[in-house]
Parts: sequence; C-alpha cells; structure tokens
Amino acid sequence: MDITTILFYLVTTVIILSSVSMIIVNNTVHAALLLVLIFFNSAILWLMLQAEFLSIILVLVYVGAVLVLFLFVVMLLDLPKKQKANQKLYLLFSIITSVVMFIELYIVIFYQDFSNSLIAIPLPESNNTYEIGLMLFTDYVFSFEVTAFILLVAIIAAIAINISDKQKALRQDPGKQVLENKSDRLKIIKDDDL
Amino acid sequence: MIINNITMSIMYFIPEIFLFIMSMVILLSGIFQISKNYIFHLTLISIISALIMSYNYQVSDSLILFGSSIIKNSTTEFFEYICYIIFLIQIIISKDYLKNRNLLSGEFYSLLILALLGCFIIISSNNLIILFLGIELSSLSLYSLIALNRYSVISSEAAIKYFVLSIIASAIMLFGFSYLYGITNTLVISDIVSFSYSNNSSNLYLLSYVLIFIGIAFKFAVAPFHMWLPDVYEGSPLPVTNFISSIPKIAFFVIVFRFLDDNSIIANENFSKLLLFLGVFSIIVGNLFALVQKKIMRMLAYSGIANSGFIFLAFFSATNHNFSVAGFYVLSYSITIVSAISIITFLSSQKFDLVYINDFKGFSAKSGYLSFLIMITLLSTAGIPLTIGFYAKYLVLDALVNKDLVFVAVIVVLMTVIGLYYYLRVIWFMFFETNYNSLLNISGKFSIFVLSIIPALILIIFLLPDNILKYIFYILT
Amino acid sequence: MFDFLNNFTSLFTFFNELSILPSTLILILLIMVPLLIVVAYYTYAERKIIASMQGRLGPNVVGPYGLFQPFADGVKLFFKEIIIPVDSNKFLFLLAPVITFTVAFSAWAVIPFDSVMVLSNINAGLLYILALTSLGIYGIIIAGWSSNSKYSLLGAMRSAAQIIAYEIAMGFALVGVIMISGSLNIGDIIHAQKGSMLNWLWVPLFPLFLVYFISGVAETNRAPFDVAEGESELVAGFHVEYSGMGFAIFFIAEYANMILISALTAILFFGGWLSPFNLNSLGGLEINDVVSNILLFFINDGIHWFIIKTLFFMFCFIWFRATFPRYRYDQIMRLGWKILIPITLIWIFVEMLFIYYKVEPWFL
Repeated sequence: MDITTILFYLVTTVIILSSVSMIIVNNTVHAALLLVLIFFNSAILWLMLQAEFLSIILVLVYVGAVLVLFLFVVMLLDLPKKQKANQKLYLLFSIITSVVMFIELYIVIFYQDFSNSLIAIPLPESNNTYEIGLMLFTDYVFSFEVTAFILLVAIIAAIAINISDKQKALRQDPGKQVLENKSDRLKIIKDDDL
Repeated sequence: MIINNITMSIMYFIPEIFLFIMSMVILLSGIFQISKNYIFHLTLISIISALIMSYNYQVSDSLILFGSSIIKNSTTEFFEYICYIIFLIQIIISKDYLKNRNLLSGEFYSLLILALLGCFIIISSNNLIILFLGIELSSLSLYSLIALNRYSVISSEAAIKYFVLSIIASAIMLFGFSYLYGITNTLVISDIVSFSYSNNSSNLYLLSYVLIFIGIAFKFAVAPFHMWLPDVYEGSPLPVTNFISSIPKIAFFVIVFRFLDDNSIIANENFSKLLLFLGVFSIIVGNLFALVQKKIMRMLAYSGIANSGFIFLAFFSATNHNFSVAGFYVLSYSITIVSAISIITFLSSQKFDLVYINDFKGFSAKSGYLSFLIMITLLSTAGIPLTIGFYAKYLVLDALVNKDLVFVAVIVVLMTVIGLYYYLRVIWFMFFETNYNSLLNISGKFSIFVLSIIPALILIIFLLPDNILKYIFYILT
Repeated sequence: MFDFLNNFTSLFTFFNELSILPSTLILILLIMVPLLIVVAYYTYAERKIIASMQGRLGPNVVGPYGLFQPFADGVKLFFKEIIIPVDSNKFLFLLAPVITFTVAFSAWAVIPFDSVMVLSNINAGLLYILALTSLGIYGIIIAGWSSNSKYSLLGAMRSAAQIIAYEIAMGFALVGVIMISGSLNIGDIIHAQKGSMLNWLWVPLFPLFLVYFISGVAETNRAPFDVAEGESELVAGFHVEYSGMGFAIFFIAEYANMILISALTAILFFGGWLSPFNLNSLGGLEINDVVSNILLFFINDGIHWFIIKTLFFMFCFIWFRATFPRYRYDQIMRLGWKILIPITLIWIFVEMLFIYYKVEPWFL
C-alpha cells in the first residue's frame, strides 16, 4: 500500500460519489459544481499516470472555461425550487438499468485478459508536451484538423442562432461615439440672443 | 498503398478540401449585401465542381492517407458520388422553400456542406478517431441546421431532442470504441476487424460491437432507438429532413460494411440475433405507428423506421463478401425517400406548408403529373412491384428464407401489407377525393424536371436490377 | 502474523513517503509568509501612492507614517463578526473565499525567484499557472451566487464574462512567449532571455507584452476594468455580503493575484531574475575592493532584480487606478474580443513567419 494506491482509491471514490450525486442532486448549480469536482479528480488521475499536459489542459479548458460558462447560464436561470414530478419513478428505472448494466459489464470485463494491452509508459528524459505536439502534427494531423472543423461548426451555429436579424437591440456604436464633435452636442446660447 | 506524407495525402484529398474552402466562402459571402440567389448559385457551382474534381482525382487502387486516417478506394468513391448527386437534387429543390421562409443564407448552406463533408469523412474513415469525429461533424451541423429555424417552436424542440439523444448514442458508441481499443491495441478499423481474439476476450469484443451497433442503430433510427426520428422529421426545415433521411444512412451503411465485412463476428449467433431482433422489431413498430399518423412527415418518419428495419435484416442476412443486398436496399431506399421529401418540399415551397396528409386531397386535379410522381415514390417505399423498392424488399425476404427463417419472413410480409394502407391512403386522397379543392400550388418547370429524375430511375432500375446488384457487389469487394 | 508484518512494513513505507511533506511545508511557508506581508504593505502603498497623486496625506496615524495601518486593518477585520445572509447557501458561501485564496497562492509554486529558488520546477509550469489563474473565477462566481443578493450576482456575472474574455487574449500572448523560448518550463523561458535587457522578450513581443499586461489588469478586476465591483453601481460587486474574515480573504487574494500578474510579466517579458546588463562584457574585470564587489553583486543576476521588476509592475497597477476612469461594460468586452484577441492572433502569425525565416531577435 504505497501512497499512489491510496491516492488512487481516494480519487476514484470521490469521482464515483460526485458523479452519482451530480445526477441525483436537485439544484443545478450544485450539479455543475460537482462536475467541476469530477473533472478536477480526473485531472489528478491523469497526473498520477504522468500525463501532466493532459491533466492541466483538462483543468484549463473544462474547469477553467467550459464549466464557467455552464455555471454562468445555470445561475441566470430562475428555476423553481421544487420540481420533483415523477422523479422517483425515473430514479427506480435508472437504478435498475444501471445495476443490470453494471453486472453485465462486470462479468464481461472480469474475465477479460488485458495483459497484452498497450500501456503508455512515458519515455525517460522525454518531454510529455513536446511528444504530444509532435504526434498531433504528424500522425494525427487529420484528426486535429477535423476537430478544428467541429469547433468551427459550433462557433458558426452559436452565432447564427443568436444573431439578431432585426436591428431591434439597443446598442451604442463606439466608432460614432468617438467621432462625435462638441459642436454636434453642445450649443451655446448667449444671453444677448435671447 | 499507404501514404504517410502529409503533402502527398492532401493531393488526393483536394475535392474535400475544396468543398471546405467553398463552405467558408459561402459563409463569408453573407457579409456582402448580395442577393440570396447568388449564395444559392455559389453553392450549386461548388458542389458540381467538387463532383467533377473528385471524378478527375479518381484513384486506381486503395489508398490510405494521413498516416492511417483515411481510406480512398472505389467503394468510398462510389458512395461519395451517390451522396453528391442526392445532395445536388436536395439543394436545387431547397431554394424556393428556404427563400420563402427567410432561411436562405450563407450559414445555412455552409453548414449543410459541412454536414456533407462529415458524411464523407465517415465514409472514408479508416480509423476509430476519424470515424467519431466525422459523426460529430455531420451531426453537430445538423443540430444547428434544425435550430437555425429559431422562431419555430417545433424546430427548437426537434433540435434539442435530436441533440440530447444523439449525444447519448455517440457516448455509448465511444464507450464501445474504447473497449475495442483496449482489446485490440489498434485504432485502425481493418486491423480491428481482422483481429484474432482469444477465447476469453471474445465476450468483450462482442460487447464492444454491441455498444457500437447501438450507436449505429440510433443513427439509422431502428426501434427501440427510433424516438427522435418523427419529431426531427416534423420539426426541421424540409431540406434538412431531406438530408437526414438519406445521406447519413448511406454513410453509416459504409461503416457497418467496414465493421462487419470479413469479420468472424458476423457468424456469431448472439450478435446476429441482435440484428434480427432490431430489424423485426423496427418493422413492426414502424408500420403499426405509421397507421395512425395524421401528418405526412411523421408518417414518412415511421415508414423510414420500418425501412431501417429492413436494412438491419439485410445486415443480418449478409455473409462475408456479400453485402450487396444491404447496399442495394440502402441505395434504393435513400433515393426513394429523397424523391418523396423533395416533392413535398417543392409543394410547400410557397408560403403554404404541406403538413397534413389531408392536404393531398384532390391534388391530381391540379397536377396529374406530380401526383403520378408521388405515387411512384410512395409505391417504391411500400414495395409494390414495378419499382425498385419491391426488388430490394424481395431480395431481403429471399435471403431470410434462405436462412430458414420463414416465420420471420411471414411476419415481415404481414407488416408490410399492413403498411400498404397508409401509403395507399395518400394515393387515394390524391386521385379519388376529387371534390376537394387542393390548396397546393406548383411553380417552376426546372424543379419539376429535377423531381422526375428519381422516379424515372426507380422505374428503370426495376427493369435491369441484376446489373445494378452485380455492380454493387463488385464495388463492395 | 506475516500478513500483519507485511502490512506494517507497507504502512512504514507510506510514512516514509510522507516524510517529504514537512520540508515542503516549510518551503511553502517561506513563500507564503513574505507574500502575505507584501500583500499587507501593498494595500498601504496603494493608499499612500494614490493619496500623494491626489494631493492628500493617506494613512498617517497608526505608527510612524501610518506604517502599522495594515495590521490595524487586519486586526479589525479579524475580530469582526461573519454575517451569513438569510437564504444564502451557507456551505458555498463559506467555501468561496477559501477557493479564491487557495488558487491565488498555489500558483506561486512554480514561480522561480532565482536560478535555484523554485518550489516545484515542473515541465508544464506555464500551463499550470494558466490553469490556476483560470480557476480563480470560481471563488468569485460561487461567492456571487451563494450570497443570494442581486448586486453580488450581477458582479459575479460581469466578472466571469470579463475574465473569460481576457483569458483568451492572455493565453494567446503566452503562446507567443512559448514559441520563442520553445518551452513551457518557466526556468527555461527565463534562460532563453539571457544577455542584456535587449534580449528580453519584450523587444520581439512588444504587442504581446502590452496585451498580456492589460489582460492581467482585467483578470484581477482592477481599475480601469473594475466594473465587477463598481462602487457606484453594484456597491462592492461579488463580495458585497461578506464581512470580517471572509472579506479580508477576498481582499488578500485580489492583491496576491495582482502581485502574481506583476511577477509573471517580469518573468515572461522582462527576464525574471536576470540582470539588465550584459554580464559577459564585465568578464575581464579584476575587482578587489569591497565597494566594487557589492556593486558587482548588485549588477549580477539575482532575486533582487526579480523583486525590482515586480515592484515596478505592482506600482503600475496602482498608477492605473489613480489615472484612468472606469471603462463601461460594453467597452471592456469590445476591447477584449475585438482588439486584444486580433492583435495577438496577428502577432503570433507574424512571429511564426519570423521564426520560420530565422530572423534574429525572434529566432533563438
């Protein structure tokens, strides 16, 4: 029992418990925060596999950016406090399904021999980040580019759905504001004129 | 031939890259205050030129590009041509419909082209990662295309339903991929298929295949994974429905072919039972639910579910190196449904929406020719003789009987006969309910010409099915 | 029996591995305690400097020149009652300051104060800092939501949107640094800037330096980007409901973040602990007397340069606050998305061309 094993069991327990409670919990903000906890612990798991680049990127991208936007949206929603219609029925079905699925997977995987699986062992004296970069731009360059397409589609879709085709929105044009002259706004009326 | 060099690989990938660049050009053309017609023409020209390019860059033997990512051979090219042609017809028909609903814009067509590109990537993927990315590219574009019609409540509902359910299916599929990778240590599909597993890993191999086929069954909308299809058909703009109904099915057929061909799992009793169950259940559900539909798109959706069941039965009856029945079925069904939905798009291209089956009442008085086209496509979907639909269904049933599954064949025939009711009802409304004044209006000679291409094909191919079947067999080996 | 022995020995190795903890703990304290003192006097410096810029006296009652003012403030906040608002989420309300504080201080683990003085010299140090600074927002957003107050929620929302917008520009600015130095390790980045002050990265990356520092000011929610706690609109933004120690911790974390941004700017663009003079030109000198030796020590690389550079940027933070009027919210967003991000993108592209064609200051 060395410290890594203890850490592994600790982290996985936290992951499982928080995943289950993330699904069960009623408050959406709590659910999002539990998701943060899950990602954080998964990052620790990766760190234990010496994949420090991946783990930090997970924290940076998912926890630092994606889930912040999640929370952002969820917090602005004014959800009714109690919404428990039929939840017990759903819970019952989901428990039955997941138990059956778990037993199935357990039986299948338990007898599986994984001994000849590839296990990623970091090369001694090699830079993890450097190797990942090299792989991404040589062997997996096509996957990399297609991923870029997918993100592009997401951007196009997000903007195209939200863009206002009618100029209803109240907005200020900074360019116009800067170009504004004193004489456009201010008119000096002297006493003599009156 | 394996080409690892990136520059060399790009040379063989020019049509797709051209399509991608053109989709960006179309997107950016919205910046300038140009007429919507130009956007449409630009789309049309880029599709046609991409088709010509891919014809010019035809490969002689099988090529593996970008490391192990992409495979290019006669199979992928054949199915890509089919997709191009179907897509062209859809684009031509979509113009007036979109224009009258304020949906015709650069982003609509560029997303549609990106969805097509995603399907091409699925068709030519040689690697699990690329396959997954292709699925996500095409589906993400489709969700957003449905959601683009954002003032419509049913469109938003359809987009959300499609999005959530499809994501779950993708996750299950990815779960299967991860186990496959765990067992076989490779991401390349052909290596996975030829992997010789030991006895105690066969269960996990089977399990991962089951998980993957759950995802594929979702994409084919096979019962019990069909829930999304009626809502999506009803809610999305008709050109998008047209796309969803046909091109992804062709792409996923190629993937199933890649996963099952030359694989010992096809002889596995449990796995084929799964395919058989999915097929028969889907035929029953699709035909029975279609009986009670009042809306034409929901009816076509349930008929699509029934037809997907036939596709799965064709997969079930396929043997090594003989996927021609399934291929024939997928192609015949795709072109038929494209024809049907294109005609519906054409009929509702003015302000009036063709939603209910009752709207067809007395249509033959208005245009006998178009009602004749509708009749041909519907009869082909139903599987009445003199159309390719009949021949495709006959081939599947023949294969079932050859496998000594006469009982199943009888159930399937029974269900198909029950299903005739809802197809014939439309035809009855069109030709015999003559005292109704149809509200549908028709305009556009060229569109009618385009619309009559596929019904003509449906009739012609019935005359020489064996040649087509042989050609598909040749393509798939 | 043997099982028991086995377990016992394994437990022993466990404690053996734990034994590195105390020494690390001492190192952590060696970084944190001076940092806390700096934070305390940073608040004092801020009040004094702004006062003198505005022709006032600033704190001058507690101790000589008011030097004990920070401690008086600290004691006052420490003994105040922590008020938890009605209907607030108590657990999250108390958790928020803890998260902010932890994140603000844990980023210091990879900062090198000297060529050897660094707590943890990890390979992906820059990414680690980027990740942790992006986590700081959680404290703000949780505090804003859990207080059950409109002002704090609005402040948190503004702050979240602002931080996300500027984090992208910040990340891109760092990409430029990584491209030149070829490493994510902060020590290597400093080593890549060896030479005189013209070899520091601010010369080839001047636009990125400006973008980085502006985004740093925006990320810490400081003036002129302090709409998140704009007093005139939102009272005090996300920490409106906090009193006593809760408020104090937010306060400390904010200033620690400012110091961190200053230190990072000094490290990434101004050579960290490197001396601004070219030491090779001094190589031939024979020096015997004490004064010259002290002078030479001062000219040489060392922690004092790092401190001086950091202090300059810390001064800049205060200077900005005294000088600039507050931005309007849409102006902040416009600056972030439409100006800073395009500048970084263009400059990265230009830099790529320079590196590809091996032009001198960019290609090392």
